[in-house]
Amino acid sequence: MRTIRISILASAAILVLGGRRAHADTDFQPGSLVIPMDSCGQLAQTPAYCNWNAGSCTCPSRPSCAFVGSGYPTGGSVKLPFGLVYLLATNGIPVNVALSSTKVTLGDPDFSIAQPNSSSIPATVLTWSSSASNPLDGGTGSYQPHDSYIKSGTTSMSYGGGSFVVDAAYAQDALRVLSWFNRLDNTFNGVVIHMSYNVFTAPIGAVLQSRPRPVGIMSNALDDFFGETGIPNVLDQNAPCTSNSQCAGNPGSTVSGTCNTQAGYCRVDYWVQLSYTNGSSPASYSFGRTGSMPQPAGVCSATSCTQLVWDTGGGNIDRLLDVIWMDQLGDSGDWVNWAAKPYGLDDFLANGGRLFGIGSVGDQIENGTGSRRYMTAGSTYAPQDNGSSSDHGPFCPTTFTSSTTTATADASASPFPASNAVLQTGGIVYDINGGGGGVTGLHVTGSKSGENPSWDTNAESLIDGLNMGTLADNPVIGGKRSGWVIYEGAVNSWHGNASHKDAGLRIMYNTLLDFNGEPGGTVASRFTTTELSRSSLTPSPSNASSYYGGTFTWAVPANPARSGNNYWTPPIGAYPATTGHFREYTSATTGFGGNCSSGNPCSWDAAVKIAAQSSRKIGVVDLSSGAIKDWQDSSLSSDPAITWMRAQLGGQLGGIDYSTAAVIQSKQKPVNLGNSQKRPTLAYVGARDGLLHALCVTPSTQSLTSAVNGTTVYAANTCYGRARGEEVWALLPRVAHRMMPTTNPSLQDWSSVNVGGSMRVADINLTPTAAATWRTVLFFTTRSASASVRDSLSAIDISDPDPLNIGATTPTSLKLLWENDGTGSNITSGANCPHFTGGCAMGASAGATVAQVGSSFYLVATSATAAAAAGTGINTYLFDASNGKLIGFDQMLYSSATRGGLSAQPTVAPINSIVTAAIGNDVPPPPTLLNPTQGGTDDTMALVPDPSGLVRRFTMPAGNPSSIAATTNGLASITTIFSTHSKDQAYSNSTGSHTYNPTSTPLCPSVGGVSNTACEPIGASAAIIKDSATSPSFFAVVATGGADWASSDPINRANTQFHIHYLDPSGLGPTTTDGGATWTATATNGLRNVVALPSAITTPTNKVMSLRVYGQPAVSGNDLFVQATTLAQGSEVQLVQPILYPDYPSGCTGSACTKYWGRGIRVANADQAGASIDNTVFVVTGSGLSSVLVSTTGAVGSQAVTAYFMGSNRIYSVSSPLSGAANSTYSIQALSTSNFTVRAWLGLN
Amino acid sequence: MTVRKRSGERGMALGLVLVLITVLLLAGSVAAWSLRSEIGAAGSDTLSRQLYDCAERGLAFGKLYFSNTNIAMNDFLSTDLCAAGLPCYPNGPFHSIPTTPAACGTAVSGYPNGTLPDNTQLLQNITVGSRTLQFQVAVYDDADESSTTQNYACDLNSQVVVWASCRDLVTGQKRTASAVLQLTGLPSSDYIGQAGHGFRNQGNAN
Repeated sequence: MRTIRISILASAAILVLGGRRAHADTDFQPGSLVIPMDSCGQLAQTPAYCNWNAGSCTCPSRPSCAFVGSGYPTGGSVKLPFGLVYLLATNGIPVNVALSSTKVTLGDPDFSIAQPNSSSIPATVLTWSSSASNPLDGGTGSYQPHDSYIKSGTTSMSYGGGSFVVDAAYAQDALRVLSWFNRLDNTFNGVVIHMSYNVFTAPIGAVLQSRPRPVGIMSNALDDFFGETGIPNVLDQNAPCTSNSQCAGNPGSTVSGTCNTQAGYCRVDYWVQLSYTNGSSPASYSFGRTGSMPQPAGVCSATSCTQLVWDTGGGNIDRLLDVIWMDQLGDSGDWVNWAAKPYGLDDFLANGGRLFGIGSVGDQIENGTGSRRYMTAGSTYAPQDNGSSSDHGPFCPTTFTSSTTTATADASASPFPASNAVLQTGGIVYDINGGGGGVTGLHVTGSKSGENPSWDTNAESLIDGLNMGTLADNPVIGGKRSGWVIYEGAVNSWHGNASHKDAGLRIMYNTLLDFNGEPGGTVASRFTTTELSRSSLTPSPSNASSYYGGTFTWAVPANPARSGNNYWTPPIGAYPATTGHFREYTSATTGFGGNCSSGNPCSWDAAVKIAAQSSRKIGVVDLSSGAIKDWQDSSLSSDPAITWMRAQLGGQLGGIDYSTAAVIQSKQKPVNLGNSQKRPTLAYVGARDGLLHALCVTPSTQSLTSAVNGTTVYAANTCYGRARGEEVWALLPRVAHRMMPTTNPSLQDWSSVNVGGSMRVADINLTPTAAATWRTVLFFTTRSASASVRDSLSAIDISDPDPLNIGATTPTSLKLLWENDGTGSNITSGANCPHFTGGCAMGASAGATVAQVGSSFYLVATSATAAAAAGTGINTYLFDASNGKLIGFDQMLYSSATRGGLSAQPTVAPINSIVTAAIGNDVPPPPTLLNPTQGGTDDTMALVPDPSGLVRRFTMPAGNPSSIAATTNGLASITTIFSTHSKDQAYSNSTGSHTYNPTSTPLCPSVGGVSNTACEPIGASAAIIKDSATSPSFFAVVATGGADWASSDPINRANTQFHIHYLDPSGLGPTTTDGGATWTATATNGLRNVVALPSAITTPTNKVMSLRVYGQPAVSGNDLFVQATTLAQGSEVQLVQPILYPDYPSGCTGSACTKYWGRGIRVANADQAGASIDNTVFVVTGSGLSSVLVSTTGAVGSQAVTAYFMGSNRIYSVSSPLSGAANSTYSIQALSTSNFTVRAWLGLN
Repeated sequence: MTVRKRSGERGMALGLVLVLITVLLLAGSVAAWSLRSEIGAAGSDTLSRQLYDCAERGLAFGKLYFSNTNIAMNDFLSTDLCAAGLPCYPNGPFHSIPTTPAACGTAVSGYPNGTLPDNTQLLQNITVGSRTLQFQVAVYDDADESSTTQNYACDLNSQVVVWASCRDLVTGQKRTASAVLQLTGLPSSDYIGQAGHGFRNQGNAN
């Protein structure tokens, strides 16, 4: 799962459907499981759902379901999936609940899956076959895909009703668990499961992480519910048994300790019996305690407890329960009272305790001393009995007799959206259940002045005017909105009499939710804010011990103006979509945290140094003229994007995501413009606020007279008047301006706005054919993932980045030189797309790279294919850096088996052991430019790796870019020098014949009848090793595994590890005629051409995975570093809602370690014949998506290496000798100083 | 002849025995001294390694800087580092700037102890282990004139020597490292403070 990054295809699908992207916005990779919960996906039978009307339940005809094809299962159920989810959660499989918080009618889908390409369906249907051979565990009985069950030509499949989603990383585990269970018990055999063929985005309201603590119930009146879901049949795979004595039960449960002796596993507890005694006075109220319950002092005696106190210290009743089901509240003898605990109810609710009840809500729950009372109106409203016939059940889907109320998104007054935010944790049921009972007579105001909780104005029934409402809200208690109190009517049905009431679904959800939050309040420590980085650190150009990095914060602040926002839920319509930090670090190892104003743990944090909005200098690139205006310019007051920014931005720094900063100092030449030779050192970094930020790193030691007006004098030791860490200016590029949702109404999601590429800076000669005009130019790309707004590449003159240039009539610098989105539209100057009839539209880009030829400069950029392309692939662009003219273009689609001039290249990826999917449209890494000749000056080649597993060499044109004829494609000369997917790739050069990928290296698995799959994507740029002692003297190093869709599950893939490859950039490429010898150690002076990364890393969740590399290898001295991670398979702790993940790795406390899992590895001894990976040297590296910054090095034999890399909530360092990082949780094992990775040292010749 | 010769051989043997005894005695003294100084020597060894480590870091920094700076190399070479306190010939590698032959550049302000015009500081404190050490980086010309008279303020062969020294601010101990730097001659358009360690994105910090 990936959050924030929105796939182009998914976005396209949403737009095609006319829907709106919801805000939880979690990306799921191909191979994810969807358990449909709507009538189309799960209820393919008639009759299957009913309509409550006047106390009776009738069943209408099933609706028309567009994607249901011939053979689609008819045995679905909307009941059993709840039990199936219980089974998965019991056995450690996280399950996501997909529920849109913005859909306006009950029938709206929560999300959709689009087809990955024109020849594929969006998802397949998995059905259980008891006789099929299982590729997951080798047993008999397996789930099998049936594409034919989906109607041919289906372009998109919509899901409503709060479907359950299992991320691709867990899909195989989930199917393995289900297969195990299905062989023992056929309860869930008929549940329909879909498996996606495409990445999709779904709004996740909750993640069910683990088996719930049982529901506390006075008497189990929920047998109907539990029984119909199959929950009593659920078994714990980790609890084999032969007798009841082997099954430890949860305290107090009347069903604990039972062994399913036929199956041989323990049943799970799902409820705990409570017995309340009603004394004559409040002080004596208590509930019974069973012998196995804890007996916290002051709370419980041997037989009873007098409090229901929630605390976080353990030992009290909350250790047993987090939900109390007040089933028989109609009986005034069943009260719960916190009288023995001052502010007892407050305490319970404020700390996350939850109460659920049905029926009359009179004086049922009383306060504690001094505490607020809870619904103590004193009057009761008898709920309507919807009939006395037999079991209506809670699974009678709601079809309201009156027309469905249509609401507007984010409504703060009635009518509310179908799944209003206040129903975030429970709105699931309303698409599929209904009828009967109902909360009536809601006491939205209390009769006892001063004691009643203040109810949010949004708290009322779901559907006004019908006696089928639901009340859900966070009452304000003690000045803050706390806890959850949910009374349900719509899912409650009376059947028979008052003792037969069903309403279990919400209970189950809320029990499963490990949520201890208070919207707008302080979150529990285990859900503390997590900072992540998908950017790399940048070294200081003038200081050996300083480095810089940006992060984004995965903590979604509750919007105090809107009730019901859980803190894990991304804000609705908020700008910036996420905030972040940019810091200077000066010590070896430190944490992200802290504002750094005191110098520890970092020197400064721009996030807290940005001026108030009124003092910020922000430029806006005019959409038509390209001029940079001051954002306070009155001409922009009618610009909706700018007015929105003015209203929202304040002093915030947007989240820095994927953007690696450039820290640019002054130079004496060749640029001489204004104060360019005395300019301060600034850091340039893009962010998810759509802005390019310029931050003060090192002030100029001299006072500077502004070259813009000739009068303003900036004091010495400032950055144009700003101090270290402060924002000097920010800029809204035109492409970001265009993609602001307020500018482009088709966009609803602010998270698509991202200046998210690497900042690229060079001194460029703008007039290579005339007298030289040198300027320091910043090139940057956008990474929008937006289908309706193309990404682009921009060039900004930062020779003299004086903020007074912004808004100036005649700026001397800091102006847009050019912008190009590859199409010819919105281009400042000179660009077009003359070479490719299919169009050159730019997709999301990670950045561009500069090539120098003499005193002229080229720019080579890569991007994913844009939405209009024929499929997933990579675009490569060649620009004249001086004017932005597009002079070369290449598009390679991954659907081509002959791509790159090779043959039999795989076109699909093995997303698991069952099915394949199209190779993902990941953002490719930026090119690497070089001249592989010692002493060579002009760059002659661009190496372009891609997620499909190829490394291609583009031969750079010679001479001036302007000399390329208009009819010539400057990128026409291409040689594919490597494919990760073909073994025994032979080539020869001056040193003889060699073979890449010798026999022992990867051969991707056969999956689902496809024998040739793509399993080793390259997601990071090539690094260059120079070694004058070797031949060849230049090596390109690429590492594989850097795409989320690349499965690292070792099941059936024991021989398909990810690798680090050492390539000859001048090689001829794989041929079929040169069967030369394996590239031996002798031939390369000790270098091996491939190093396998470990494939058996055990994560804290006991999953065994392969290490993969997302960041560019880093070379320094004799060392090569990569940061590897088990990321994809560990995606439960990756970027998606990490704060929901409750499991700490063993030994972690508080924020002392990350919930992300990966390893920093050092490749050791690769200059020896027995190259190996030292698996013992590791640290938990967090997201593991960035490169390693190697700050310093020394000569052979006496290296002094310090490598820095970013994880979640941490910066790590590994120093030589590897003596450890400041993080005390994980130590770095020392290596001997004789361990050198590669002979890379060349000095500077 | 023979007797004398034999007698002489005896005398030589006696001398050898005396020398051997002396060596053994000295060795014993050294061993005893070493035993007493074990702890102190270990600490000194640690500092020594840290100083070397620091010097290497400084050297790496200097190589990166001098290979990327746009300040003319002859300007650096034309700055009188002897006057700035750096080790001067014959006790060090640096030479004062003579009147003749004329220097090829002009002295760089702030070099080597202050802030250069491009805001770089070549005298920096760094932390190694628990110690604060100070490295200083400078550059000197190799002997590239064909004549016996060298002009160390003028580079002729695009090759200079980067020098880095590290000093423990407490004990004053120093360690020095140096490396030859080959100059490409063209002013660099590159900046190392960006992704991939430069605009070519090579990921190589060397």
